[in-house]
Amino acid sequence: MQKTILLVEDNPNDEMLTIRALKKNNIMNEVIVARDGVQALNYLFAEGEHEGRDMNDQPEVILLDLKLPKIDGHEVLKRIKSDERTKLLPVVVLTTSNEDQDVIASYQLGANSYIRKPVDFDQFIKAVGQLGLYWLVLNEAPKSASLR
Amino acid sequence: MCHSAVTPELVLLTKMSPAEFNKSYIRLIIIAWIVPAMFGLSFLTYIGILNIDQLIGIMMTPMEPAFIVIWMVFAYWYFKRYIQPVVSYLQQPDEINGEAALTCMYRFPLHFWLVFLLYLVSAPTSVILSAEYFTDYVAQPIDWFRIHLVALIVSIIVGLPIFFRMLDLFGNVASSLNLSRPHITIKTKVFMIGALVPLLIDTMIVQYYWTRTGYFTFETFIVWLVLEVLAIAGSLIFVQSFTQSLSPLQDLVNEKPDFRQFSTVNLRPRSTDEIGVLTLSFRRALDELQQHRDNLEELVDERTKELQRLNDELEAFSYSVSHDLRTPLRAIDGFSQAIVEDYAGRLDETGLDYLSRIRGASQTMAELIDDMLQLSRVTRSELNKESVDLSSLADKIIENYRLVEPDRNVKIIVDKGLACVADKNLVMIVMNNLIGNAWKYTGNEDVAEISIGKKTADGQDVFFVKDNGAGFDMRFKNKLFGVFQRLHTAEEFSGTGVGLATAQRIVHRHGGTIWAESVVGEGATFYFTV
Repeated sequence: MQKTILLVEDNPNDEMLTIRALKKNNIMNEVIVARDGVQALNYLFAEGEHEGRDMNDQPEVILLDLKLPKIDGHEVLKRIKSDERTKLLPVVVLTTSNEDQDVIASYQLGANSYIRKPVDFDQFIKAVGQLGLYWLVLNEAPKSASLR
Repeated sequence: MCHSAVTPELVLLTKMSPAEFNKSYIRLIIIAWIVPAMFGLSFLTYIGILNIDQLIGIMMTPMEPAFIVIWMVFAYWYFKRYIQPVVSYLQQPDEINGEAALTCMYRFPLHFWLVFLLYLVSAPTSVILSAEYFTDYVAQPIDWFRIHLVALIVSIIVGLPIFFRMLDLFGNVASSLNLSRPHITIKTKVFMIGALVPLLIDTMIVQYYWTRTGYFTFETFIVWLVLEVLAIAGSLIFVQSFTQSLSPLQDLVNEKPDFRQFSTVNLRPRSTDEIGVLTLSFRRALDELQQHRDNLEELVDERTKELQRLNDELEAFSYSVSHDLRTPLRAIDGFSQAIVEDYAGRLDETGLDYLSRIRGASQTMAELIDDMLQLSRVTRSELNKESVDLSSLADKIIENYRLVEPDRNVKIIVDKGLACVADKNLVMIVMNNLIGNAWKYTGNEDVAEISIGKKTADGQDVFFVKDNGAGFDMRFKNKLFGVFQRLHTAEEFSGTGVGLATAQRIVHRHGGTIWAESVVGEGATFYFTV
């Protein structure tokens, strides 16, 4: 069974464009969308509306925006990386900002990659294609990544 | 030498005009040379060394009046050199004239007394000689001594007030001069009046009785001596009293403290006279000044915090500009592209052209946002100065441009060993902007040439980026570094008009300058120092 991708994105336009870009790159993995930090954490930890979800079935990669309602991206990243159950999940920060402080904070919190969304959609497609190729195909995740 | 700040405001305090000053000076010289002579002669007659006929005889002959007039002219000419700089200063109160006036003022007292005493020695000689030549007067050897003594005493007694008036004349100018040490000390003034004058008067009285009684006894000598000692002792006590009054202020004069960090704890009045009151007022004034300074510091602190707050706000603002303005742009571009891809069949050529224009515009705006962000970051970020290898920096930048446009034929020469001390990231932006411009504006040349190097001007390294591209009209050179200012249309050469503004801001933050020279069609050279 193919692994899922968790897209944490509050902007519906960006959500649509990202999914479109994945499709354009023939990445057919199921994309779970979380629209704020709380939804993302609930999904990963099988809490709230996702209570009872099988926690062994964790996404292959998390695409995380930084500016999110309720709980922001950095906080989400911190919780993911500080919890034994999720800390090995690859997190790719996919955001609009290229402020140094955001890049540094993200890597300090354990982000696996940091990509600035380009405005040019062609470039965006290329970027998504490359990260899909890398994280979903080339990268060898630990077998029990989702377990611990 | 103290470098004075002779400011125009200070000069306004001087009430005396140059002409007035000159007039007062001439008047004082005339008084100084005539009054002692007249007084001395009268005294000699009065105590009986000369009789009235001999006095009239002396005055009627040409010798004595000529002697006095010639001396007076000489004195006027001699002291002119001390007066002229002061007059020049009053006419044109600049720093050079101020220094010259000060130097002359400090030299004046010594020279005045030297010349005046010379006059006092020669004047009685001329009196005796003309009296012997033109009248029946015959000088005894003791008379030579006594007449000279009287002349000396009289002249000093009359000369002192005149000397003080001279000093007061300089005092009128002092308010606008950078007086770093006293012209004459109060101690000297007090000693002159308190000891010298009583001492001389005492001597004159003795002279008077000696002539009247015809003899000079041991008793007279003792009385004279006791009076002299009393005069000196009394004067020393006066001096001591003044010294004590003045000591708190005197310390200030000697130590020349830094009034910006001055504690008034030790500035206490040591007398109950005007000087004591003055000291107290001075202390109060300094205290008040200190208080104002403290307030000012508080105010500056407050303002700094306020600025910091505004700066933080600005930072938050540019952050959200970076994030929030780009997001909708991505949607505009992305969905335009989606239409092109998914619905191309339903659009005619014009429709597709419109969509590509929408995409182009959104990308231009994205560039603009990025450039503005960079501009605002340049101002905010801290400077981390280090030694920077500009040559290798330039090589790296050029490599990037060659990667993006591998087909272009650009000949680039980068001089070896270009180095400076600057913030590496910021200098990178400057070089990137300048090289980027050179690259861009040589786009229409068959053989583009760019050279990057260094020359030295006034001992300072001036780095340059030179190209043979489109160049610009030097008439618009002051627009070159303005934000959003462009000298070419977007169709000729793309760009946002922010790059050079950013470069200039970086160079200015390093305390350097940036400028450009160009001939239209022949290329441009950009120079900068850091």
